[in-house]
Amino acid sequence: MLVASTAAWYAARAGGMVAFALLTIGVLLGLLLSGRARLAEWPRFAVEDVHRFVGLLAGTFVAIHVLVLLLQSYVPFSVTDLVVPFAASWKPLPTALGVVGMELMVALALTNRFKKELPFRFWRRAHYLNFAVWLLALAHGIASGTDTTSLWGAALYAVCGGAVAALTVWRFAAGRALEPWALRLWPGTAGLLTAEILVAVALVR
Amino acid sequence: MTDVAASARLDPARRRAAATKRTMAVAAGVGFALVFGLARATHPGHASSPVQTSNGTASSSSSFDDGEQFDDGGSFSFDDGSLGQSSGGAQFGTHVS
Repeated sequence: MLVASTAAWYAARAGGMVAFALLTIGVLLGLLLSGRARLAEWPRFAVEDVHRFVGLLAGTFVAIHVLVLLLQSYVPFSVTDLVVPFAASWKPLPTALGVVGMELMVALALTNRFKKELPFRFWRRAHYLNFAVWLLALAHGIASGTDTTSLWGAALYAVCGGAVAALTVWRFAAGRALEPWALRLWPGTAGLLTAEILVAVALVR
Repeated sequence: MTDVAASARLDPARRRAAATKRTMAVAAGVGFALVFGLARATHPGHASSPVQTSNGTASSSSSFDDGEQFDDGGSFSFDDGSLGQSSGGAQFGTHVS
């Protein structure tokens, strides 16, 4: 059954934006875990618990995004369009980025489900591909998102991108013997630069 | 006894994690509603202010109706997928110019 109302189109867009925000929180928590950050009153198992939950929540909103896209008729999509990269006639490349990201996310969810059966090294290396999922989602959102050029859309991408860039730099700097000021300066600089670049890319798209 | 002590030490963290998960689920729902509202408010068909056209004249956007198959800010096209301008106002201007 197709839903002709634009409300379904808004719901699909909202689902995608919330999924991206949750995916970002999941990546940030993953970076904190892999960087062995010491958080007062937050033992590792508790952060891992929230990290897993955020991943599931992100998957739920990706499912909402895809299902509503399938059910609505405002910008029609077939099942093939949503599972085969470049099959969609609507913005083929940006849509393909989303399709590949979603499929990679499903594959990584399976490695999490069978984590105990898989060699730890394999699971850990595969888990790093969540970065690729996040990058694909970012590129998909910016390139195909109807809301990218709005102020709030650009702000969302800037905040999410800046936060991930800052924490990624912190993650790699934390293992090195750097001065405390450098540990604050480099992540901060990376975060601000990334945010500025993303705002520019989003607004001139 | 050691297990009980360890459990008592870990319980606050478990409760904190459970509360955070509940908060995140609620925040995601609220975020969904918020983005839905923002998407609706900034959509050309629902914009309360007139859409500025490229020739400088203002035209009302109320001619767009729900369910109508129109170009959603230039994002619905069957072209080569180039990353063109998708701003509702700007694209609308392109159409009328």
